[in-house]
Amino acid sequence: MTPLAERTLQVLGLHPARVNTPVATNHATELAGALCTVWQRQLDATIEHGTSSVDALTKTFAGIERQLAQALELTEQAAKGLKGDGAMSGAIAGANERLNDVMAMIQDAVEANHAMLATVTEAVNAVRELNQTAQSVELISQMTTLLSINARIEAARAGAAGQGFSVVAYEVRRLAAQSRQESVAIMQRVARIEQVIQQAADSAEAQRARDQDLIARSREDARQIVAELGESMNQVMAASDGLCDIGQQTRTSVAMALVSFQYQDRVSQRVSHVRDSVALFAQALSDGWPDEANLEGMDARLLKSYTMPEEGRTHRDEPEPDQSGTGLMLF
Amino acid sequence: MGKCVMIVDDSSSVRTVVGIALRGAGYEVLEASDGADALSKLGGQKIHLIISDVNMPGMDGLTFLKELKKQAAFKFTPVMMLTTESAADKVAVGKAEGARAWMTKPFQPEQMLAAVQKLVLP
Repeated sequence: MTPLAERTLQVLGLHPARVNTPVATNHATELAGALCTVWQRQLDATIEHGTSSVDALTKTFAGIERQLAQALELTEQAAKGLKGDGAMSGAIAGANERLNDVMAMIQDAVEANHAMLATVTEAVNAVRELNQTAQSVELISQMTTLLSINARIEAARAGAAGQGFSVVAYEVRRLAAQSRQESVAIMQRVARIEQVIQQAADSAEAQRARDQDLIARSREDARQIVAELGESMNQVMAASDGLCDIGQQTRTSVAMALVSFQYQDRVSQRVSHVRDSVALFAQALSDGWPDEANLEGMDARLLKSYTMPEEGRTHRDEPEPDQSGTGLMLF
Repeated sequence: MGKCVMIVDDSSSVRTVVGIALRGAGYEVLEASDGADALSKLGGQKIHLIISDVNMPGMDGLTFLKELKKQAAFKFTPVMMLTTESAADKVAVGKAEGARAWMTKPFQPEQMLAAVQKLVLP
């Protein structure tokens, strides 16, 4: 028996001395053939299960990758919206400007009320002047009454010549009394008007003070709201930046996973070649135990069937070289 | 609409993996499971590049390449072989039949995309 044949039998777990008989050879052949059939089925099942599992896993991964890509696109759009032209920071500045415009309009309205207050104050002053005029009229009527009394006294002294003058003095006194009554009535009405107007002026002044306070508080509230909004937007932008960073890391991880998934193809091919070599061996056994030339022929056929360089290295029990090649040739 | 790349490979997972890389770079992807399937799907739209495996049941990649180049409409369509094969004689056949590149699996996505960008029709 050749050394190669002995080695082959040892691989099958068969002792050369026991096998080297016609009966033993037939039994060994049957056993080997049966084992080869079983091994082929097992390898086929391995290829099928491995391929279907990886296919399902790859499809699931593809779905996850699509969802990640959509999420990343939305994140990048949001980040662009926050930071680009017309972005949220600009919107905050615009809102601040509009709030300032509203406050300015409120201020204008308040100042218009204050102008009205000034008009009311002018009315109060005019009423006071009117009161003074009424008082002047009262004084004039009093003096006229005194004058008429004096006139009647002089008329009495003049005797009969003064009778006509006495009548005139009497009429003057009566007119003075009437004038005095009217001036008193005027002063009473003017006093009432002055009271009402003063109440209006006092209310307007109180309202003015409240308006100023309200405007001051509203300005402060608006400033605080805009500041809080700006702070919130800064936090959103920081979170968006964080999401973009995570997105880049995710893309890198996806690229690494894509490389890993490809190894299934190589594994599947390698297992297929092992199955084919088992079939080759079974065929060789069915033709009778191979001699040395046939074994060497089988060896050569196996080497030729390989499609990947590492299969040949494994066949010859050679070490794997450093994997530093690019794997791409451009023609 | 992005440029269209056809992937020809009997492995569903390889087609998915290559498709993820290409779609992520903005390409449209058309898939075929072997050479015969690929030939049947030509003509529907302009194809800017074909990426094909070599070892496939039915019609293998080198036979597909040969048949493709017989058609005038695809004479100048660039083809990149993407395969586990690296035997010099197979590479020589691919080059002779008109392949523009030969890339072995597993590929780095950025390297594949760089090659695609270089080869794809304008």
